[in-house]
Amino acid sequence: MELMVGTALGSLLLIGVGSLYLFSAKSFVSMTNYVDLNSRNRRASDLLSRDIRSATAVGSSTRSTTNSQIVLRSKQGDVTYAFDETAGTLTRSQAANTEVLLAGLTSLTFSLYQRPATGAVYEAFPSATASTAKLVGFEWTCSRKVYGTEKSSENVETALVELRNQ
Amino acid sequence: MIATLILTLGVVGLYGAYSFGFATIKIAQEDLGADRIMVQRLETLRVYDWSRITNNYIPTNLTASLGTNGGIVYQVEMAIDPAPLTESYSNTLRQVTVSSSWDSGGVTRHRSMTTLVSQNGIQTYKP
Repeated sequence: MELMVGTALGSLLLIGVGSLYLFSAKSFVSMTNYVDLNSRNRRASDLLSRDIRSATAVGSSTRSTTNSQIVLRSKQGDVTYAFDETAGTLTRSQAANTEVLLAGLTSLTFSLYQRPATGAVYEAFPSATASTAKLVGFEWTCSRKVYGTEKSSENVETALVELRNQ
Repeated sequence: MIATLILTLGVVGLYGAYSFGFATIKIAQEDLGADRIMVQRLETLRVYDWSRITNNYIPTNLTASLGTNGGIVYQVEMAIDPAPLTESYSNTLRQVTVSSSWDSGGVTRHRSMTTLVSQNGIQTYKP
């Protein structure tokens, strides 16, 4: 009888400790993911913003079902940002250098806007083509799995940046 | 009894630490959201010509939100004031302050950014 009660109590205790361990581990991984995603997103966003600001024009901006790409013209040569939906990556290419800035991307869109028209309300920017673009907007969503749970760490980045040399 | 007390304190402390960690991350993300909104206001200011900067075209109050942060609505205030300078060219400058405030966890949080805008450094085109 004593053995049964002891075993039952011990089992309950072990289950409790196991649950606590799993919860702690998941929380720790989740927090680490958030911090890491924040820092990577911030770096990618800063780099993309800097390239847009210093660009003289948008060379092209294309979008298909599996990828989006924008080419920024600059005095140092074209800079290309490409989103590969299958791989979930954002890649920055300039000359022979290619760098994967982000992984785990679930969506990314580039938007082009013109200067505001005369008499337009504040921050109403008409959409543009590559040749008429003055502002470039971008938005992406990054996520990571924690123990197989999709999107348990998610981060969305969005910005509207001006081509200052255009 | 003592062992139970110690175990309870340990568990409560651990949960408290994680709650604090998540709360800190949430505040950092909200801060980042406010930062993005204010930077965007200052960024788009550059596509407006000088007359719009000085003639009350820029709204003083507006609301903004991002897809992140669980749909938090930020109250944004924009103030365009004379530059705090005494030099002769001070009339060609304006001091722009963008402030953002939002409610989070029962507390109203504030952030602000200030920059100088120059008549001769801004876009001179008239669309």
